[in-house]
Order: sequence, then C-alpha cells, then structure tokens
Amino acid sequence: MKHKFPETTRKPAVPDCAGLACSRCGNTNPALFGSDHGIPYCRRCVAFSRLDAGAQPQIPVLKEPAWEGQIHLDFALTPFQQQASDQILDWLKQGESVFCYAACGSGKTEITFASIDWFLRHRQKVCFAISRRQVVLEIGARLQKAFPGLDVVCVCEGYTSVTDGDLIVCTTHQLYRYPGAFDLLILDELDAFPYRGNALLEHLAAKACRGVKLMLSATPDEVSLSEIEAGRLKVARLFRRPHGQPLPEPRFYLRPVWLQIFGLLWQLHRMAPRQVLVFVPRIRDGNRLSRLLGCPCIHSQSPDKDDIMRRFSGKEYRVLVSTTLLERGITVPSVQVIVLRADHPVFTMASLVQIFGRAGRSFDDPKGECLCFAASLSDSMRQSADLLHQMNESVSFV
Amino acid sequence: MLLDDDCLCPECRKRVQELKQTYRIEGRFVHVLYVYNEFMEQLFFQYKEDRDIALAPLFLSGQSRLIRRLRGCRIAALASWPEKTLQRGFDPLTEILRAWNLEADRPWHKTRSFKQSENDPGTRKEVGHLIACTPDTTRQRRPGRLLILDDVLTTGATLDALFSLCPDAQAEALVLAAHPLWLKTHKKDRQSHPVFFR
Repeated sequence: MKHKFPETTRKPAVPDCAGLACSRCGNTNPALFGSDHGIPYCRRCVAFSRLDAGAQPQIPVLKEPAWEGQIHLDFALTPFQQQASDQILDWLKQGESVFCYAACGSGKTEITFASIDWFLRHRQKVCFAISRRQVVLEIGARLQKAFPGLDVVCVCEGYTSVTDGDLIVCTTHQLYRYPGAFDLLILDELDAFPYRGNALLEHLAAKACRGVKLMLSATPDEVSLSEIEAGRLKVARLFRRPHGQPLPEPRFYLRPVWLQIFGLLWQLHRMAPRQVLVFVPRIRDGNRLSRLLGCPCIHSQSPDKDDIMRRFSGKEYRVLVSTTLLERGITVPSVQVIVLRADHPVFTMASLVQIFGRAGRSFDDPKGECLCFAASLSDSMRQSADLLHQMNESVSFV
Repeated sequence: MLLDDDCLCPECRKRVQELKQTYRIEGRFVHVLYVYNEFMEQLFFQYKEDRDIALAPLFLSGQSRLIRRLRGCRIAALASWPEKTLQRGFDPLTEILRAWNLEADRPWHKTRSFKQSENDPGTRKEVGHLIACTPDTTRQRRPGRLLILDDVLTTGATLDALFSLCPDAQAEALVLAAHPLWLKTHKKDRQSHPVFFR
C-alpha cells in the first residue's frame, strides 16, 4: 500500500530508518518502517502485531513435550516408505536438515511419524507447519490419531486461543509466535502459496527453528533444488505410491480452445461412471463450464466450499469443475483428472504435477487418468510430464 | 479531483467501497463515507489493533472536498477508554484528523471499557448507558455546526447515544464506514443532501 503525505497534511516526524533491522522479520528496508511519534516500527510484519525497531519479539515459554506412547497406524509402511523414514531420521539425528522429495500420494506425511516420535521421546519441541489452514486441521487430526494421548494443538486462523501443546500443527504464518522454539520444524508444501517466494514467511520459519528442518514437497522450488545440488541439504526420495503402481502420466490433446470443449464432453462420456475433476484456469471459466455441464464449480470465492467437497466425496456429483483451489491436499478415491486450457500461465509445472497427483491414489483404482487440453504445448506441460516420467523410470513397479 | 493526492495505491483504492451517502435517522443527518467491507475491516484492524499508525492518513485520503468541509465544522468525537489509548499508544480518530491538520473535541467519554466488536448485537445496544458527558469549562467552542465523528457504524447504538447527549439539535454525524447490514436496514432513510459530499 502506497503511503505518502500530501502538502496539506502534517507530516509525521520520520526518524532516519537507515541501519534499522526488524528482529522478527529481518526487514532492513527503510521504506517499510513507519513512525509513531518518532518511534520507528516495522510495517512489513505489522500484521503479526507491531514490533518497534530495537524491540525483541516475545520469546514464548512452551511446555516440554511428554510422549511415551506408541505410534498407531491403520496400515504398515511399505518397505520404500520405511526406508525413506529411516534415512530421514538418521540424518535428523545427525543434525542435518532434510528435504523429502516425495511424489503426490506417496504417503510422505506418514514417513515423518518416526522422526516426530523420536524427537518427542527426547522431550524436544516439534512443529508441523503447512501453508494452508484447511490442511492444518486435517493433518492435526491425522497426527492425533497416530499419536493417541499426545496433546496435538492446531494453530491457525480461528484456532488461536491455545497455542501450545506437545505437538504443534500450524500455518506458516503462525510461526511468528515461536521464535527459537522448535528442535524439529517440519515444513510441508513449502513450494505452495503463500510460503513460496515469501521472504517474510521464510524468515519467520528460519527464526522458529533452533534445531533441524524437515521439508516435504513433490515439487521442490529452485532454492531447495540448488541447496540439494550444492550438498547443503540431504534429500530422501520417495516416488512410489503405497499401492506400487506408477504415477499417472498426462496425455496431451492439442486443440484450439473452442474444440477443447468438444474433446472434454467426449472424454467425460467415455470416463462414465467414474468421477472426474475438471480444472480450469479462471473462476469465470469455471462458472461458464459448470453451467454448460450442469455440475457445480468450486473456487476461492465459493461460499459453500465445504459442502461442495462433501457432496463430491459422497459421490453426489460425478463431475466437479475447479480452479487451482483443489490442486493440492484433497484425496478423492478413483477420481480422474482433466485440465482445460492447460497452457494457461496459471498452470505452472508445480501446479500441473500437483493436479495430476489427484488421480490414481487409491488401492482400488491405482491407474487414474490425467488428460490435458491445450492450444499448444507449454513449457510447464512438458516439464510436468517429463518429471513424472523420470519419477516412474527411477523405480520399479509390481 | 486532479489535485487530490491519494495515498492509496490504485489496487487498494479499487478494494475500498466509497459510498458518500447521507441518511436521515429520526430527524438527524448521518453521512457515511465508506462501506465497511472486508478490506475496510482489515484496514481498521491493522490500524487500531495492530497499531499501524502509518495508516492514519488513508481514511480521508483522496477526499479533499470533504476535508475542506470538515475545516468549517466543529468536530466532536467520543473519547476512547484511557487504558486502551495507553495500550495502543495513540487515539485512532485523533491521528486520522491530525494527518489532515484537523482536530476534534471530546465532549463525551465511556464510563467503562466497552468494545462493540466483542459484544453481541443485543449487548451493543446498551452502550448508550455507558457514555457520559465530559465536563470541560475551559474548552473553547469552535465556530461552525457540530459534527459528530465516528469511525465505524455497526448497530448505530453509539451514535444514538451521542446524539441524545448532544446539546446542538442541528448536529450531524459523519462516520467513516458503515456496516452493510446497517446500510441495508436504513436503505429507506437515504437522503440527497445538498452539499455535504459534493
């Protein structure tokens, strides 16, 4: 937000902010400091509560975790998951931060459990942080089930009355509450909005961790990749899904936009009665398509998102049109995926990989289809297909 | 318009819903500048609760005609609860006005701490019992018609209380932002006032 004072107003005394640094977010840009009657304060992180320049953020007094139970899983880890889990724990014990490069649907959350268990048993503080609020609540529930009797606390918008427990699950925004607090900080989907490329959130995450970090993603960003290549970050790879089948690789249909609709209609007919997720680049595309198909559309502005998802999961709808809202974090058994206008810039390589990752996740239907309609083959489309192919090539299948 | 110097960037300005509408409520004129939409709510929260005093100028930014009108009025506002002002470090309305070389009298005060947003609509209506006149024999009466200033209008209970305590029967009110529900309820009270926002 631009901020300047016209001649008709009284300009506040703005002290010289050169050389100032915010001890919470690391801001050193003088333009991002405000002045309260001569007292400079950081405006970059003011949304987390105001911190005057020179002041230190309040260090939280957190309870020491108490965990002596046993991990509970509904199913055993596959040998490959176990191998990744063991490798990750070994590195973390050695004080090394780790990047877990795991394909969508490979069960990467479960392979963190052994590490969480070890740190908790040694009375060390653990946090599981993720970008999206809805996923915080889901992950919190899964962790509570896996660690019965453990005080698992979810901290996110709407859930901030209790901010400490044996194990904290939070959005990356909430990490501002915990400077220097965690011996193990698990960062899930760090390539997703809003964390990706957000220097402020990255700084908060760095400050929250006093020990080691475990990062999880199916689509590592450039920074993580360069850290891995430089040997500064250990990497554990898991490209095999628990059911042992290959990751679905996309098929591309290059058509003019107006012909893509006909192609879509044909594919929807062919795929019946299986459920289909149709991804479109923009909300208005979704609204138009949903009117044409007579099915619901879900996007960031939908007032009834939870209801739509519940009904789709309950198979009340066969087809659901969506923007990139559903590209991550949802699991609908036996769903097929179609992307319209896949060459649109909103569909980045990471976005397409995540979208394709919605298909083929269940044991009952491990070979889901991913189709893309586009006017031309974009770099993102090509890179996403190449990546999935490389992942499949790197493992052997049943 | 060409001389208006807006300290909001174009993107933020698009998110602000300017209203500039006058309502006649039980014989009193209430002038509303903005709709209290989600963006305005975020701005007020960042300003008042996150104490981002740098936002003070933007609530009247781009409103040069209104500011000139305010210079000819005797502005009065409800004083904030003293502990809250101490905690915050500044008074929100004072700073909004000060950014534009304006001042307000504080002829009324709350007799106890009461935050509208922390109470249900039924309880909010009781705020009238918590407001009293502040005796100040030394206050110089500025010339001009009395204009009661408030930042956010939700149920209208605070404004009703201030009007009832106001000795000037011709007093009008300016609120920076009004809640959509209040606007909907008072749609029938909309007036075309000859000069206020022109």
